[in-house]
Amino acid sequence: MTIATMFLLMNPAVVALIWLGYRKERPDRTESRTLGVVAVIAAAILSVMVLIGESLLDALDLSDETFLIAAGVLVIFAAFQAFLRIGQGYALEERTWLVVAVVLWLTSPAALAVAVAIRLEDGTGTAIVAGVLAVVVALSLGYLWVLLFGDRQSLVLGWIRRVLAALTVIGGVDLIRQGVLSI
Amino acid sequence: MSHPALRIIAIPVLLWAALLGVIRVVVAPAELCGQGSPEQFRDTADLAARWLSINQYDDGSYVYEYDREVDEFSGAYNVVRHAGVTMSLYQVAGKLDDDEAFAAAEQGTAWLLDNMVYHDDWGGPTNGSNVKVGSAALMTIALAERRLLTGESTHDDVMKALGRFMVSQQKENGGFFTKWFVETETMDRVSTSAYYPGEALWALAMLHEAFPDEGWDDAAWAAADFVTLLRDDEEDVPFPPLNDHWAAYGLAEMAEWGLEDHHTDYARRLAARFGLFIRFEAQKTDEGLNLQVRGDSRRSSALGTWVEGMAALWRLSKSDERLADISDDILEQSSCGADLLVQRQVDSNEPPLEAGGWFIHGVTRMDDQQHAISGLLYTADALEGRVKREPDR
Repeated sequence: MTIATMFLLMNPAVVALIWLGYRKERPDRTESRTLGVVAVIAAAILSVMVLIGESLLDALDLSDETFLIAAGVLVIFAAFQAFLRIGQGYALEERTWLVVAVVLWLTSPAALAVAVAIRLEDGTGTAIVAGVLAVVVALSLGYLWVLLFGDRQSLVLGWIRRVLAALTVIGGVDLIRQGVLSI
Repeated sequence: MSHPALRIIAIPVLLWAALLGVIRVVVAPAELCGQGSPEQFRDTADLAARWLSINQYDDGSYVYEYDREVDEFSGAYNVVRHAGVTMSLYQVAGKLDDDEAFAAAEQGTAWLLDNMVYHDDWGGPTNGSNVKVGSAALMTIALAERRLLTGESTHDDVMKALGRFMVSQQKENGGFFTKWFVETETMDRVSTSAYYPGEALWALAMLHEAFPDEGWDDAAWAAADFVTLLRDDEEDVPFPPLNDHWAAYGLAEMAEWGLEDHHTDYARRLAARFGLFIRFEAQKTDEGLNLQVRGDSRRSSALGTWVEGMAALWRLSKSDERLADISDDILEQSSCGADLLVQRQVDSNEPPLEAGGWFIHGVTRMDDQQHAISGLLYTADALEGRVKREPDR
């Protein structure tokens, strides 16, 4: 369930929305190389978090169970962020801002927390693979949408974003449940 | 706000920073407990036992409640708690080879025996107006503990009379009525108790251990089924399972009898509940914003029960393979709670009415010491891998 939450959290519809903001200013540009840059940066940040997450919990004097509850709250907030389009959909003139905006979305505190939660449940390898895969899937689907539909299907995109955000809330609640029911 | 840096970075970053701050204060403050050591835990339990024995009256009753802020004693008394305190003193005597604790427990037992009421074939200690299932149960456990400690059969008849009282109060579904009225010689068929069934469960299990051929296990099994399957619904527990450490003791006692899956499932959920409470308690600092958000520390009669419960569930997890996977986690939480008890105890340099006690808002009650003692003793054993609950001497 936590791995599924990671995929939902990265909400490809939000990635598409951010990308469409860039396309408003640069409709002629294809940015397939930017995809790679974003993927590498986001995957690296997630992987580092997976590796240092447990030490961070120790430094903060947090038990795994309390951390899961906190992670659940972060995930629910991220779902609302996606739902309400906070920090998304603005016109972006430079590629740098596109990279920053997408990386910020893919490596939000909620995503980092979920990566650590997967590490606690399933180990470092699984957490890194899940994080990298979630990044790749979200980027690919988001960018594919931009290529296929541009801004012609914004209503549909909006509904997809909201549905994925609602499902993300379930993932957040599940993390809280795990934290409460764990010993 | 036109620059992209402000739009796409500043707003989300500020929101996340604010949220992380709120979460740190409200959801996930630092947990301020260490793991402690068996020696520390036993020393702390010993000092608490000294509070009980020093503050015992000549008739065998204990100082019930003391407010150090105004140097006043409460006029109240509670037979159930008297029996529980006496039980904990026998535990100290048995685990720490403490003659002073044993002498105090003997006086406490004498007080209970003096207050026994007999009717038909059963008996139980009374407060003058009624005989409660909880009093009978904890007195049974105290006497069973004494029997294990001394090897004497002096009070066997009393134990059996207490057992017959509990059985007479048991309902068809395994639950219990709560009390019998001395004056009218009638049973209270109205009130219920959340904790008496767990107390009776453990007491009946101890009776079966003491007298294995007398069929006490039938009542114990019925009580175990009631507690694990029905009690929380019947008592309208808002967020089940009820944090019932007595049930944990009882199930641990019955582990070798062969528990069913619903018993161990319940034990697993119970461990999670105690763990949650202990973690929450470990996050309290009693000062500043934390105090406003998280509230005061709970009294040790609450924290102690969670530690007791965890220590009992640790023994169960060591005896039942189905719970083996949570054994280490249980021990970690039990140690955390026991360490909090160590941190919060009044040290030995203080006056006799304070040294060894646990005070909240200036007040201590005798069962603050009782529950802390039991939790500390059995957690110390657990840290050393000792599954045997019975006295060591």
